[in-house]
Amino acid sequence: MRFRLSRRHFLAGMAAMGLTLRVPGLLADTSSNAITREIPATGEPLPVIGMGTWRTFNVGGDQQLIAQRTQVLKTFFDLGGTLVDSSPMYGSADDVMGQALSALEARDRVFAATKIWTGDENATREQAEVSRRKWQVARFDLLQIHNLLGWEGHLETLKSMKAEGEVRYLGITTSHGRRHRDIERLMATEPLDFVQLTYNLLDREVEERLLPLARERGIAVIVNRPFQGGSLFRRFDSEPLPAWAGEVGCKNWAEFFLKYIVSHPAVTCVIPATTRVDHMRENMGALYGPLPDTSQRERMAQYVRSL
Amino acid sequence: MDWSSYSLADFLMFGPEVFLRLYSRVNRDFWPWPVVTVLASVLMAWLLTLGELWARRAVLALLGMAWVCSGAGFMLRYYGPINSPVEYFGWGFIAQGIALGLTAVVWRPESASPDTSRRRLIALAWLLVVCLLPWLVVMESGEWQALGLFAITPDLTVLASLFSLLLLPRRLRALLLLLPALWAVFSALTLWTLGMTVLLIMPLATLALIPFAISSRQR
Repeated sequence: MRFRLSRRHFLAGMAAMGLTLRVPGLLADTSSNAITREIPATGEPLPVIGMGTWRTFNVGGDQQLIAQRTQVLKTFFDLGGTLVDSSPMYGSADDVMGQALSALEARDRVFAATKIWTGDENATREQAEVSRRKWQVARFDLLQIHNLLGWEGHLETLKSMKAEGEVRYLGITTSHGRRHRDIERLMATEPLDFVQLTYNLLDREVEERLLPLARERGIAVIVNRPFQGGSLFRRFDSEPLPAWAGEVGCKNWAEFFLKYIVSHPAVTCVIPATTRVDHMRENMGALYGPLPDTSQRERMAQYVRSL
Repeated sequence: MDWSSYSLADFLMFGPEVFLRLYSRVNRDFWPWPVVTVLASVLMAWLLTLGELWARRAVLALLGMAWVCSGAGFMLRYYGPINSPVEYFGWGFIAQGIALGLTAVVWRPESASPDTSRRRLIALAWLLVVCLLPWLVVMESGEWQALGLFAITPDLTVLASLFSLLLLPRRLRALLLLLPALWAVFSALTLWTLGMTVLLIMPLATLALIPFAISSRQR
């Protein structure tokens, strides 16, 4: 039987191709093809691309921006993401996240992570409850002590909360390379499920001690500031991707930066933040396809250093 | 804690887009209040040209209302939720507005009103400030609805107040310039971190004029 391609079929095919290229999630079976890592404490799989909310979800009562951020979150979920990280420090971000989750009816799809950020070491439960009400979730999957503020009191309370089933995992955070000695000491001595730290193509100090220690101790690693607060794009966006970027599964700089991070075997999840749907799509591209191996990772770092 | 590793940007939890939209949102939500504030600004310019005591009291009372409105509206309802220190400033603005209102009621001037030419100069400066500077936010945002008006937005309310406070004796004036100075420093640092150089004009002008406002003699 001969098939004659009509103009209508041709245009419909082109439109379908354009749509699928624009929305990689349509091509991907998000449940099976997404790259995941197990949380060492339980073996629970977690997609390696999560979402941060620093500076991006603090929009106050601006309904237009809340609706727009809801679309960013929807894109994140549609393309296979689950872990969303916030903090009481981020202004109205917890409130906005709660509204966005309600609008999307997506509470069963989110791995809800926030932080305890108060110097009052007796206020752990109280602050966690305030955040829980804002997110309108039954409980948080992960509570982290933000920048180790008041960590001694908070950690003891979080251990109790975890034992009582009020939270599933507990952890500590740092950023910008601060207090790494304290982080290392706590990782070595405390029963932590997660540690959150800064790691990107230019800030690689954690490769020396903290990431190997996380593997050794079975601690999941969340990576913040993967784009160095956006400065990696400002610095390299005008530069060409290397000709071999396709070999490491990268179509753009976002994937290049993110795949470098998640290809480290100690990293569980990276949490880029964005205000734009198109940028979210680019970020989520790093959840699929091949990851660079050790020699390719070194090549990526060398290329960026050479620019 | 190693504070040297922190920058101002680490303490700012929002970006320029969210900040600039505060102006258009407040103007839209409180419509037609922006028209009322413009009319009140013109009325205050006229009152400033008059030498009578009742006019001076009326200027202070209107100024007090402007501070209360800016504090309770823009700062507590819109800006505070995204920038927590602004909530404290918002309550400070309300307190300052009440203080100005009380001053308007109980103040018994020991000296005469400034002379006519000085009053006209003050009124002209006032009018220029309240009519021209609101457009700085429009220039920065590209939206004409984002006018940063007197009695609504804090930067212009603070800057414009310097001229009206010249009506008061120096000691009382110095006391009432404390909060404007603190706000101007806070606002300048915020706008600098956000990279909004056009809007920096207002807090920097406030900081530059405060020493003159304190030292200026009431004649």
